[in-house]
Amino acid sequence: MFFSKIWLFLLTLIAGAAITVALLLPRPAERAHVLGEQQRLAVGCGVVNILLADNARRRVDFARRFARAPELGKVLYEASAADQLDERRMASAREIGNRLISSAKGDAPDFAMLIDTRGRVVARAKRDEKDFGDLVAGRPLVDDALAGLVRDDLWVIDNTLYLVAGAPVMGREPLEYLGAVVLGHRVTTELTRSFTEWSRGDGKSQRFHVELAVYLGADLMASTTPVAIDTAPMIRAVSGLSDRDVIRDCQLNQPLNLKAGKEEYSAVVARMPGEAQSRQAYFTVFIQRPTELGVVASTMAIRKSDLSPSSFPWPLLSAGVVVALLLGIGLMVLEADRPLRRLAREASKLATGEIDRFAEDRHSGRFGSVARNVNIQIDRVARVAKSAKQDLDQLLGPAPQGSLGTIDLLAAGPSSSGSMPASPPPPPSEFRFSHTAKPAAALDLGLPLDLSRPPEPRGPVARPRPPAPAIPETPFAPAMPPPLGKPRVLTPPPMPIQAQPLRFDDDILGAVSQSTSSAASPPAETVAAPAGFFDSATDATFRDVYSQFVAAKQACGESISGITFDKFAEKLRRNRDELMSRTGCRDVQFRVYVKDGKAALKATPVRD
Amino acid sequence: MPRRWFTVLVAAGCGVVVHAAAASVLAGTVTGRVDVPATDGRESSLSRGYLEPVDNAILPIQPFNPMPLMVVVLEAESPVDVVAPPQASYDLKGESFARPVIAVVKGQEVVIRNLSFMPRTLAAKEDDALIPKGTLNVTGSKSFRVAEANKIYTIGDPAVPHLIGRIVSIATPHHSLLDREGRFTLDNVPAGTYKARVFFRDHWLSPETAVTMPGGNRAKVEIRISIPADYRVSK
Repeated sequence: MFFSKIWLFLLTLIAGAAITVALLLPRPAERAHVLGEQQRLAVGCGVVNILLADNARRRVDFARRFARAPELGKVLYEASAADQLDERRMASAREIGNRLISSAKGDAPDFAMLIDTRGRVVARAKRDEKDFGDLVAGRPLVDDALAGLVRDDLWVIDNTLYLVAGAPVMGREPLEYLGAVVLGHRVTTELTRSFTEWSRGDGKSQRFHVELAVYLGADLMASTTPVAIDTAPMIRAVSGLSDRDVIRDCQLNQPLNLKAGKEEYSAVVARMPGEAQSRQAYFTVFIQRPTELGVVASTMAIRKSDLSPSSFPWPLLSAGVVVALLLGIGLMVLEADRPLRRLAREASKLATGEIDRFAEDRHSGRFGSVARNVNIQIDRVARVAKSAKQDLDQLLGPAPQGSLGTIDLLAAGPSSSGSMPASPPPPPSEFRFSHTAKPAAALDLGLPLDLSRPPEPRGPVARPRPPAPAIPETPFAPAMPPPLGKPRVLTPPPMPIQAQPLRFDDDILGAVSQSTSSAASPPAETVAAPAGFFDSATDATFRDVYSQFVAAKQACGESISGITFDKFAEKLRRNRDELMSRTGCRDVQFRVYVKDGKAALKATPVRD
Repeated sequence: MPRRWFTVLVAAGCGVVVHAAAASVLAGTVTGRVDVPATDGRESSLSRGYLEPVDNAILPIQPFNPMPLMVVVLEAESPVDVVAPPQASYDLKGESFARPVIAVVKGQEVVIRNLSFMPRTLAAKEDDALIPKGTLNVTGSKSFRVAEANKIYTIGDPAVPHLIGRIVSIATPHHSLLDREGRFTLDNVPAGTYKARVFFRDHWLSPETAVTMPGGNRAKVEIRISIPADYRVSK
């Protein structure tokens, strides 16, 4: 059973570990999922930055082409030379600007600003067209464009975010700077959608789909979705960004958890550069927050393909289960079933008498312990039987070979054959479940073999002593036998008590009185032969016994009322006859003794 | 008694006028030029977009011109009482002031006029109470007085980082802005010894140049001020 227990322990450990892993695995998976989403957001944010830069490059190229228009150079040249700009000049320049914008293919700018060398706005097209003459020099993009640089920027005009590009306007003859142009594109929903078009894939897979929204502080400039997400966390996150290079915000920023109604989103924010940065311009790339994965959700997320043999080690798992099952069954058979069957077989043999005791060395573990305990009990009973035999021998004298000993006497009951050969007595340490054990069963009757030792109270199997019959008080000279010593306690063997027509007890009168109602009368020829022999002496003997018995009762303080010699003699006679007929003894000797403070009578067969 | 006092006051006024006229006749003019060492390219912009600014392929980039950011000041060697001019205008003409730097005499009133198309909220970085609170609307103005000399005030709109103007307060009425070539003219300079100082953007440059205005009618002094190479760095 040792290895079975070890195996059970191991299986329990493995099962516990498997359950623990099953419960814990969703968490790392969820973390990996969240990390994946974060990377997805960072990638989305980075891609948007790349697309914004690419958009800036295209806008700058367009501004450069715009600034090369010859008519633009001429009007700016004239404006730069004038101390005051008038409306006529402005209208002329504005018309040129509108015409150039209209000629733009694709994404036309939302406004154009024509600037002379002094940094004054000569004309505006498409936006604030009536305003002119103001100084825009001082704006970094304008200063750079007037200096000859081509660049982009982000402006905020009337709380609207514009992506602007500036380019210098140069004259060919002579080659000189004549001013600059600034073109602006408003940040619109279409623009943001164009920045997330890449994430929509082919329309079938939405796996990498991200949303984009552009904000100016708490004001939404444009978004790919009408979802209104909470801006306060984003503003806090933007305020916490301090790196000089805003392009790195996508990598340095941690994703945020945002709410829009009941929906939750994961978002990453990134500042937008240029002048608009001072107005807290930023964009956010966000996705719907992935549902949290638990054991159930993970189980529900299992796909059919996950269970295919190519993706799941079914053979390995099957082999492991079979090996574990076989090992468990084998250990069970080896350590439990087979020893138990072996013990059961031996128990059957023990019951049928094929063996005298268990072979302890053939049983191990608990089964061996059971066998040893049973053997110990067998030995104990055998010792008791041996002791009982010795007591009988001491009481009856050694039984010669073939003669009637105590055991033979008791074995000659009605349930056993008187012709059964005598078996040698078992060794002191053994007990044999055979017919030779019958005497031991007879000893269970509590026959005090040693008269000097009064019997002690018995165990649970001890039967109650039959009450002594009431005997009338008669004068009697006590002739008590000398005490022979202390009464011995006989441990009753665990044998079923067969029906005993004749019971030897310390109170033979009671036994006789009980048996007289059911016992048949002795055969006439059996009684007849001894009757002639005893008739002359029996009466005197019975009287002698009677007087001793009455004297003993009186000595014990018992009442002798109702005890008459005739009744007493009749019982003794019946008892004697029955005993003689059963044992085939020549005579029966009655002795009076005291047991438990009461007078009792004992019948002893006389063989020779 | 009133007539007598009135006569005295008229006589005193006439004396002042005569003295001023005489001083004007005796004052000279200081002209000069500020020499700036060759610049090593443009200053970096306050902001940039998604792309680095790139040169055009046709013309070289125009170098940084510090002259609009400079003011020449002539200070007398011996302290003199200065009467502040009545008013100095500082016009906001769009996305910037008309001049990035102006000099204002101590006690002079400064009037900022918004000539742009956008309302602004201006404040002085060094003294929050210098400019009256409130929005400076289009065509509106705000005035204040500079009480102390040798102060530098940075005027701007916190919402518009590139909109910055500087006011330097001085204790002399002799100051001049520079043209794009660095030339300047200081009129009505009385005879005496002076030191010419140059203020650039947000700090004074060193060393100072000594100027002596001789006595005589309509004297003229020509000076050249050499600017050290590290003039952009405030020390």
